[in-house]
Amino acid sequence: MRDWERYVRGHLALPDLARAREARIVRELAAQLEDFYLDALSRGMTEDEADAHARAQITDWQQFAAALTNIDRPHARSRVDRWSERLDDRARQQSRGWRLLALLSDFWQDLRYAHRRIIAEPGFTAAMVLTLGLGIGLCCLLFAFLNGILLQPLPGAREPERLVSLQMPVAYPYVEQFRSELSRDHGGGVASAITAFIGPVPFNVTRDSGSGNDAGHARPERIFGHIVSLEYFATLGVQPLLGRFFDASASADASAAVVVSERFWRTRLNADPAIVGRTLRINGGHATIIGVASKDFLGVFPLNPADLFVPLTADPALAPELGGNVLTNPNATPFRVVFRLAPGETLSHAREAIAAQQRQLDQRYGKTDAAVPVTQRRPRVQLMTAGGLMPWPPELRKIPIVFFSILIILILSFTCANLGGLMLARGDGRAREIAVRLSLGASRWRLVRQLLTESSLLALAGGAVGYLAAYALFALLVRSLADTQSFFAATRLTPDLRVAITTFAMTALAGTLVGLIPALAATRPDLLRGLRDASLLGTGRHRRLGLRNLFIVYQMTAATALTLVVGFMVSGVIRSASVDLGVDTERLWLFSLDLARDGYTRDEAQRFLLGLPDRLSSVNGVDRVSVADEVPFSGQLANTPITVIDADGRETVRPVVLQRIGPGYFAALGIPVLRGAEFTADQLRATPAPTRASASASASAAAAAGPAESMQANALVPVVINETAARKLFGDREPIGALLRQNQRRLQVVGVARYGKPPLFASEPTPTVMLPLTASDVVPGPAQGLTVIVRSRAGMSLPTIAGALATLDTSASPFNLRTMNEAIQQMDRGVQYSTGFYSILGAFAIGLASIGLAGVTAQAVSRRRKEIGIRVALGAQRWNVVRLVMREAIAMVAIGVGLGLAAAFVVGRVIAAINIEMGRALVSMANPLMVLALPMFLMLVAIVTCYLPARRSSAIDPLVTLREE
Amino acid sequence: VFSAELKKGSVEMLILSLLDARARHGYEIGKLIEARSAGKLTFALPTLYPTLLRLENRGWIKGRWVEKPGERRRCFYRLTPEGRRILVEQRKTWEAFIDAVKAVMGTSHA
Repeated sequence: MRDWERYVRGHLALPDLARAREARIVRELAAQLEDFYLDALSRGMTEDEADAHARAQITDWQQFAAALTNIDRPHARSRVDRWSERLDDRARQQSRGWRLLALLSDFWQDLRYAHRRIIAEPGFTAAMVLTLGLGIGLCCLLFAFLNGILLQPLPGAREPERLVSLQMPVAYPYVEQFRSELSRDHGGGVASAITAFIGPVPFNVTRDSGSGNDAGHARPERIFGHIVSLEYFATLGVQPLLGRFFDASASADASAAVVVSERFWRTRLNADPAIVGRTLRINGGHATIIGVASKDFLGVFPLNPADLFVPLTADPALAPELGGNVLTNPNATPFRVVFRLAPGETLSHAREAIAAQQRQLDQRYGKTDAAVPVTQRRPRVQLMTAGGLMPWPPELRKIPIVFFSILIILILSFTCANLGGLMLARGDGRAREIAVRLSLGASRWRLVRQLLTESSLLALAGGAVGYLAAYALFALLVRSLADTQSFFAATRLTPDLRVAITTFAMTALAGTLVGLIPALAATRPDLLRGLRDASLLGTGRHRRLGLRNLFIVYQMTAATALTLVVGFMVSGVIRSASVDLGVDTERLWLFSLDLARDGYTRDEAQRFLLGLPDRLSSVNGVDRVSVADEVPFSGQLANTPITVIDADGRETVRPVVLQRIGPGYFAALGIPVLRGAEFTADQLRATPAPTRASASASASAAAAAGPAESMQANALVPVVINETAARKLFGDREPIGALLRQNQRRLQVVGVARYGKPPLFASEPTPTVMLPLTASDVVPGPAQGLTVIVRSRAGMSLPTIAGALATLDTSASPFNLRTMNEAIQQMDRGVQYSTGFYSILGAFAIGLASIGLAGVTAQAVSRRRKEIGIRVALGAQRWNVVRLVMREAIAMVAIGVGLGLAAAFVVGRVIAAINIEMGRALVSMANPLMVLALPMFLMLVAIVTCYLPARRSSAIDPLVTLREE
Repeated sequence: VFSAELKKGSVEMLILSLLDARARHGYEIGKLIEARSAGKLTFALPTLYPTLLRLENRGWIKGRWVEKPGERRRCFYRLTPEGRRILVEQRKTWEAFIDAVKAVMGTSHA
């Protein structure tokens, strides 16, 4: 039997028809000829006869082809098609290279065409590129942070994903038991290596010069480091860049050894290649540099970077934290433990094994939870990842990734949907052009490709703008964060290749999303027909725009809710930042001292502290001086339980902030003591100083401390409390003279002051109890050192205050000199950043919603051109037309804003359910001004955005629109 | 046997009426015309097929490739709503025309 299709193809040439059309005709004719053939066979003809019969059906092929071409003119192929088909032919016949060339030539055409269109409409192009840039930039920024902080492995570590740490620090006896029971080397344990460290802790470091002469003159620098067990580097799998690390066999000489980070070596030691063997003066001792760690290694958890690694075996002169038998005391718990999970070991099994050991140890040392208030109970053993930049619960590892991904997808999809609407609106204007091209025989796929090229080009420009903006903003943010967070100063946190690739992927996705749907819609064949009999006098308008209207309403809702909630938050932040602290901050200076690291003993520190006010006050221009263990107004977390003893001797426990202050604290700050008086230096001399042990350790430690200290503990310690504490602890009772107990010490309230900074969203300060600062609070002191407050007289400047510091004891090295205002700004900065970010998000939401609205309105206008033309021809005034067009847009905005208000209310309630303080603030701040003003503002923005296309509609010339048909 | 002019004027209407009942393919249409006219009306493929395309391009009929069980793939044509409207119109016109012709010719005989 004949291959009829081949037969027809061999005779019929239709070069003027589109290729697909030609194929269809050939196929159908072949089917019919075959029917003739089969029919003839069934009627009893021989095969040859049947074949001849079928072939006789069409004799004059040329005339037939002419007739078909004539009839099928709508399916004629365009010149472009013919050209590309010729290329296609060649490609099919020839090599892959030709095919590529054909594609490239298409692409080049598309590019040139897109370029012409983009140039032709600069306003539209700018709006598209900017909006896309904003969307992509925001996503890029988000991903840069996610990538920079959460996805980075610990630099320099081997197999960082196998590293886990205990969330809570423990005592050294625990570490030893872990090592003997859980390590695979010693017992049958779950870890292949275990290490422990204290830190980060500050060290006062001076470089010993060869001659030893400079050492006395060089100002020591405050460098943070870890005090590490000898297996630290081996456990992490970090390699030395120079020299070697501590090794257990040579622990004897390890006592005076130190390892430095590559950063320290580079920035402080001039990258001296012969540095190994040189000594550093660290705090009160000397240590030999034995090695430099690998590049970028800044200790475990480099979010708090460490530059110096001192072994646990070092002398307390080198590291005061090692004093007071910290290696044997089960109640001193500064040790963070890092395990390297043994191969094949699972996290949950390891957690069980560790928890079992910890329970056993807790029992042995009598640390049962029963007697401890609930707020102080030890949480169950929680393992954290230790192979990243910061500790993170491994079971929550995916949460930020999922959260950020959803956020990015939401932002991108909103942006794309809006811009897609805009493209669609423009696509309507181009419908005629597209229709002409389609009818000339351009294939749909080709047109879609063309439109996609255009949107991709726009997206590419937007992506570039977004990436550059995000890059710059990221650098700016990191630089300003570096002021407060040493981590950001430490790492070269720049968007890496991964960010660039992700941004490019987002850009490509955005380009496709923005272009694809409008392209498909614009080239939809039946749109052609709709266009041809374009008798759309508004009929079906609502239905056709229904979904898009819904989308706009939804966006307005989201934008309103978001801006309202953000508005509440921002106003809350502004309010708590602008709260009157009752302090004249103008002439207040702060600086820090770390006497322990300056080599002071407790007695020397005591003498120094007592003499400090007099010594500084003697400087010309200094008015008053006081000290505190923290920066004034910084304590906000009520995390210390204190026992209130009422008149009948009954006891209740309340959480408060515990601060330690020197005499004259309130006088220096200029805060009035409302009732009673603050304690004086003379009073304190009379009161025996309690030791650090009884001040901070638990009951059993104090009991073991000896009779002398218990006797001291019986003396009443004078304390000043703030107003909130007076109300919360004593209610209506007279606070002056009232008794409190903290651990074994009995405290007596001598004064009440209006003091404290309300935490974010709170309306009043946290209850605060202020104890006298003693030498035992300073040696060994807190990591941030001790804060000295200086009130100067008018006219005193930074150089004079620096000069005054030079008159201090030469062995004390002050650091961190700043004004009180700067200190307060630093406290608020983190919150400012987050509100800044949310404000950007809110503004972005409003911007997007407005663009969407403008797009939809523009589309409605272009759809109703004819109707408007007729109305104008019939005498409608300009204002009538604008009103007509805007009515619909305003209705959408009004509905959206109304729903948004409701949504904001619901969100407020939800937040209130989660966070009482914040929720109360949200509800209380729901001031009518904002609830009214913000939606009004949104309405205004929305109205302006839809006024622009509406105004254009009124400029429609009826003659032009009516002539169009 | 009728003249070519006479046939040409009616082929479109014939096709439309044949598709009124159900969708048919090209060969079937040709055969049906032949069978129903008892062989008096035949249209060759070079006449019939371009007419189908023309009707389709006007949007009166629509061809669709269908594969019925046990048969080859064929393009089946059916009437579009527009085609149906045209058919009704043409039928009316045709009947009016026939009546008029009959009336004229009848009187001349009488």
